[in-house]
Amino acid sequence: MSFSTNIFINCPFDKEYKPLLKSLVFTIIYLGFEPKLSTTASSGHQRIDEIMNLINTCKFSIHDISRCEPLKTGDLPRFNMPYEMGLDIGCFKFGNAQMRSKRCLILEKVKNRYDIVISDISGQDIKEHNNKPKKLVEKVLDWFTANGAIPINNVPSLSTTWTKFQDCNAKVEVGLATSGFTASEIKNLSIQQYIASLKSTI
Amino acid sequence: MSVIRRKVSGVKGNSTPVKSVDGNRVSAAVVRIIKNVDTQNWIYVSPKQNTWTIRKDGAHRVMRTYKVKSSAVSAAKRIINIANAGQVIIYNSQGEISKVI
Repeated sequence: MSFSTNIFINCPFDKEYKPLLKSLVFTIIYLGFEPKLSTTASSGHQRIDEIMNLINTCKFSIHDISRCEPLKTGDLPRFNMPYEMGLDIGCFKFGNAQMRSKRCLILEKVKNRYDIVISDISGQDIKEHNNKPKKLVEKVLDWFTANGAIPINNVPSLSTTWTKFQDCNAKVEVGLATSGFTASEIKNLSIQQYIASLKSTI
Repeated sequence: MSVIRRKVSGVKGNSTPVKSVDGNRVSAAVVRIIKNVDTQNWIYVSPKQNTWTIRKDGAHRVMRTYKVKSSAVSAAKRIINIANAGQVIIYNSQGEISKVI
């Protein structure tokens, strides 16, 4: 896959975020792009090296900073997502010509929450998804329409994309159950395995 | 490890579990099975705002809208009973499958 079709996804990988992540990777694949997520292949690899390699090989990136919050009361907030977003924006600002062609979408849970968390990015066009997968799909489709990655006429409608997402999910789940996967194994399927299954249905 | 045997209609060919023994790997054989799942007579029940809708596979348009989930599920079951084939897939608001009937 080439630089112009790779999309770096910078998002949390927790259980609560999985429905949002599934809808996000589906939309990306459905539109003909390649989702690139950080999954350390070996514990000998530095995670940040892998992330920097992904940033270097992806023209587009989607940063979800909705989980910049403590997991439980008394914990410290998580800063991985804003850090990686900063690296990506830095490449866009100070990199070579290819890096300056980068485009990114920043997602948040609710409107203007980032004003409190990272006020430096105030003024940028940040979209909120309210933790709803369908809303996230809508924002991603709007972004594809706006950034010119694909001709406007080729961007499918939200309802078409959402029904296709549901149809494909059904096919994947029934196919996996038929192959011998248990209900809990299907539920806990890694995102890479989900992508592999999904690609066969689109 | 126990294997869930769901009532699956419309899966062509191999119905023997082919899951890789080295973990939950989606192997080429699994991908082939997913590809061959025939969804032709499936009915989807999903929430939309404050209502429940039923939709046939492949159709973008909603067939009918119901105020309560149980009415939508009953209607979907009636449709597959008349067709004598297919299954009902019920989604939650997150777009994930909550039940396969």
